[in-house]
Amino acid sequence: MKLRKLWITTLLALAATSAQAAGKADQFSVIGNATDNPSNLALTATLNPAPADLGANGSVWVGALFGNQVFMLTPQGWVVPASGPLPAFSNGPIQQQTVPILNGINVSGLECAQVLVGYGRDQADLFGSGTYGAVYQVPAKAQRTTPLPCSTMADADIARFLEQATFGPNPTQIAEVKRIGIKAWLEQQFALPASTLGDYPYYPTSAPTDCNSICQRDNYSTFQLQLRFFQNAMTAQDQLRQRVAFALSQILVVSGATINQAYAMAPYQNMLINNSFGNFRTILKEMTLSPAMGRYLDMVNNGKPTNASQQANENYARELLQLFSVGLWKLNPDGTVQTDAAGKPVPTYDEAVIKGFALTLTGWTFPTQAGQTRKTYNPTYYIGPMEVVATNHDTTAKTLLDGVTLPAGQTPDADLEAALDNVFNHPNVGPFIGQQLIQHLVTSNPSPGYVSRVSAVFNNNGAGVRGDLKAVVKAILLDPEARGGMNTDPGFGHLKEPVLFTTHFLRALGGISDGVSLRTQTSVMGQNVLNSPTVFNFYPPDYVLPNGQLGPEYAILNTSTALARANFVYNMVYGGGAKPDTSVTGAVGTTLDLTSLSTLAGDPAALVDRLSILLLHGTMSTDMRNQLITAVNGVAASDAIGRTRLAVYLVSTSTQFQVRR
Amino acid sequence: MALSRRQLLQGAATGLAATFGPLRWMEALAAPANDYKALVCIFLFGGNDGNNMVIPMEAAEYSSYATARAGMALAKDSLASIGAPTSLGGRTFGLHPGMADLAPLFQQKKLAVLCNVGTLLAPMTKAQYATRSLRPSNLYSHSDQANQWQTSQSQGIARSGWGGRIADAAYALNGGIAVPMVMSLSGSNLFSIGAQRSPLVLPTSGTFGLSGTTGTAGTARLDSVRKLLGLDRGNEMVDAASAVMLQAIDNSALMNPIINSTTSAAAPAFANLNSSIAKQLYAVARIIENRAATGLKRQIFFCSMGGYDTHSDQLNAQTNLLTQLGQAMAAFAKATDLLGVSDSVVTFTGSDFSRTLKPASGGGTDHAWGNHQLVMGGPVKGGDFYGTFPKLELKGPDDVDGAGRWIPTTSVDQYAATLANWFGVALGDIGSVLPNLSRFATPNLGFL
Repeated sequence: MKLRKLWITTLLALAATSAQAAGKADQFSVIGNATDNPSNLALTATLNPAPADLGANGSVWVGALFGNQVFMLTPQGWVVPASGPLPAFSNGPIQQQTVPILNGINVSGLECAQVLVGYGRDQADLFGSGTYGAVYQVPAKAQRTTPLPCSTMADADIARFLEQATFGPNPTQIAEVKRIGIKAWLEQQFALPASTLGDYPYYPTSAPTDCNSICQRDNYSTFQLQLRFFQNAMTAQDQLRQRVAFALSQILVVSGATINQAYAMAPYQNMLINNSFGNFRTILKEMTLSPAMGRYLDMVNNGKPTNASQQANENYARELLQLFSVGLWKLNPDGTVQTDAAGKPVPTYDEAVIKGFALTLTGWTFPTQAGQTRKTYNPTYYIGPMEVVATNHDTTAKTLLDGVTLPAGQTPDADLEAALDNVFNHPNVGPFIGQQLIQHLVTSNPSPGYVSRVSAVFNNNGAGVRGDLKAVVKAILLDPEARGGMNTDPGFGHLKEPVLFTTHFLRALGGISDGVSLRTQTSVMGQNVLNSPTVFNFYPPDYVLPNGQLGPEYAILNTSTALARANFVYNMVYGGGAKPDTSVTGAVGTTLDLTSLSTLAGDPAALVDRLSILLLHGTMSTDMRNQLITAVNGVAASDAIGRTRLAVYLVSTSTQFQVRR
Repeated sequence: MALSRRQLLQGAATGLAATFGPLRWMEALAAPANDYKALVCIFLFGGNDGNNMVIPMEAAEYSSYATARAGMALAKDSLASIGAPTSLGGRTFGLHPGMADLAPLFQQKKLAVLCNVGTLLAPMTKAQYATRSLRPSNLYSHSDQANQWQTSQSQGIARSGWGGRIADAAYALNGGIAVPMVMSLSGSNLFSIGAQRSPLVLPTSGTFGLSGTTGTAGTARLDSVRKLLGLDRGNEMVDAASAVMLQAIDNSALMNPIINSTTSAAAPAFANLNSSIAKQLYAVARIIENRAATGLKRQIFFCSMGGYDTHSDQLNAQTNLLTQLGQAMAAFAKATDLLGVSDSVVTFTGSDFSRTLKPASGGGTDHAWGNHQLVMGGPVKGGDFYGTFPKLELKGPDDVDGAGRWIPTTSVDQYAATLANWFGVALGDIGSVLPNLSRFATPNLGFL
């Protein structure tokens, strides 16, 4: 166990950037001098906010991020806030006053010695995007006696982290993580409000006769949601939430191939976004009662068998178990498959269990639209959770997982809660969901140790809570296998799926996109976002490479889509990208901005090295570097943009870029 | 003992390597073919309800069907009658009304029905089903059953499909040409992947070219791309992606003009057809038409449709799907006539599984098992049924659980072996393509 000493002589204000509005940076002063006793920091700040810096009624929130720990200043002093709304420092106007900064707080156990102190008009202002009142940092490395891990992280390592936690690193975010460290960045991300895919007006199942082609596109397809998805991926501040939600949407699949109305699909996708850092049990229930899922996998209007010639619908029951929670085989906590005495894998359930769940999930119908009367089989409507029709619920006893039986005569709600508890508490869920989240964020072939560490956190977040996804995500991204030197292992990493391939490329290279072109381009590459061909997603988690390793995303990499990837890059780099679609409000098209990169074109090695950081998180081999420098030198030095384009094209089409390690 | 997924895979890998080792030796002995033959697989993802694709019309049998099917039963007078199959003693049948275009082909003896075929480890009785040991793993799961259909391996995890393995075994018939024997017009799939070679995946329209490779700058750029693809091959993930890209670039100049050709003798057959399956089969026709350019004597194509997982609203959904399929298959049959290759091309269907005879809540059906398939083409001994048509009765002799799920009476291995044998793989060598085949009495079902 390392005990890091904090050696603070002064707090330095960072230069205000446009995102960090100047004017709130009041004085900080050091009362105590450099101390070897970090449990007794004595710093003060003078708060003298301008009227514009105050929230409603003049209220003000004062908070600090010290390493990964959030502290809030209250009238009673500094506190570590409980979950829920953060406490305000003052709910009314304040006069200029001096407050202590982090006094009395034992920070000796904190691993990352960077301090952010600020105040804001409300909670979101304080920890939200780009409106820190003032940001202060411990001195530069040279002024400390002990190097500190956060600020010494190389750009390449930060870029690698951001490849796993965002839709692609960009120079601004690399600088941000360098400034505050990974753990503080994660806490910031957890605290950010969610960017959703929006809400859309109700349209009837059949389009009105006056609904023209634009109306059809906007309301009778997932077009608008896809644009919002890509806009969020490109620019939303809550990148980590968006990444996790994207992963969840590919594990808990509802497809626009069936749910092809914007207003119908949005609530489901927004539910995943809102719960990305929530509890998996909550997701299980909201997913199960989502009318979009209900329609997609036929749980809606699934009636009890009324006579011998009909049976309960098994569709949702089967995929809930096979794909959304426990999987086909009994797993050990490390994700390996349990085998019987004969060495054969042990199934998690059999057909009797499928039938049991199918019966358990009878008796639910579409939500009742305002102004309508509830019917036994409500007409199609997607806003709100599905509703109970007790008379349509099967009341016989049912067989669930691991020999659990539901007694006869229970209500639909009681059966539902018991069945979801039965699923949620099955020991497979941690390794089954945990391994897939690792595959989406970090690597296709996590070691059993990695999976077991993550499933242990799924089972218990440290506070006795099972299914805490925030803790699971943190465990995935901070694991030594994600952060350590495993990326040099020849089998480590994963192929970037089309979404991550295109967004990483654009974000790293100053690109912009309204999503119009990206939705088409990624579709040609095999990933029509939110429109998976089946509930089995665009690619299965167990797709096997010729060498025997798992490589899920390779299921959609073939000779046709490989060329589509390269041609996308060519069009962006040499073809000017995509012009704004005039039929889309606020369209900006999809373009790159290579201006700043091209300032390096006079020095091909520098240009190539910069691309190695931005696109390959510094993993470019010497062979590849030399080959690229030779190629770039083949373009006249006077043609700066030509050199830049060639370098960008070659690195972006390289398979080294397509594979994320 | 705990077995990891990876170990499972490695176990499977070892088994495959041992099984398929002799193929290289076989290749060395075989000579290039003088004739042309093509196999066209149409895979119906989601589990096509065979019970409503081929329906008995004889009074008692239809009545049994209609009783069990209840609301899912198709009206007898709506069926596309195909009359009495040659060897079924006068029992009459009809196809789903959406497949009316295929009925004449049955009567012209260019279409056959393979009855109740499915994934099996070995022939199985109802008693054996109850003991579980011989069951294919994860019966009724889409992903598992579609994979088992395509790999002909019903336990463990296979990494190659029987289309790819037939191509491995028949490789020498193409005289050593590097252009892949297997081409998919419907994305990546296990069926097409060989133990030794990879398929070409082609779009049905649009480009199969690499932009920006002409002129001095373009040539230099392409040269750099190729050089970069040759680097860092030590990383397995990068290596796998590089292999795909190199194969794409290597075949682009040959295949792009064919995919984008606007003149084809087969065009009239596909006039007015816009479904995805019609576009795929039209692309197959154009590739066959250009066989002199590709130089290939043997080809295997993969096409597919999705949407057959009809848990609800089946009567409408399946009608739409089978209409598209029937029209596209009939058009393709006509195209092979126009191209003069009707005696060289065999088209056949596959699907995850059939669906329960008993309807489910919501106007649909659930996952089942043994299913009927169609085989079409000049070489087919058509106008007949092969295998055993199941007794359409809930809790009847073929039903495993009262929902109307048939134990297959013919295995995918036998189906595949019959096709492989016609294609040019000798019966004595087929064991290396279909390791499970020896467990079944009849390796060639005689429909070709």
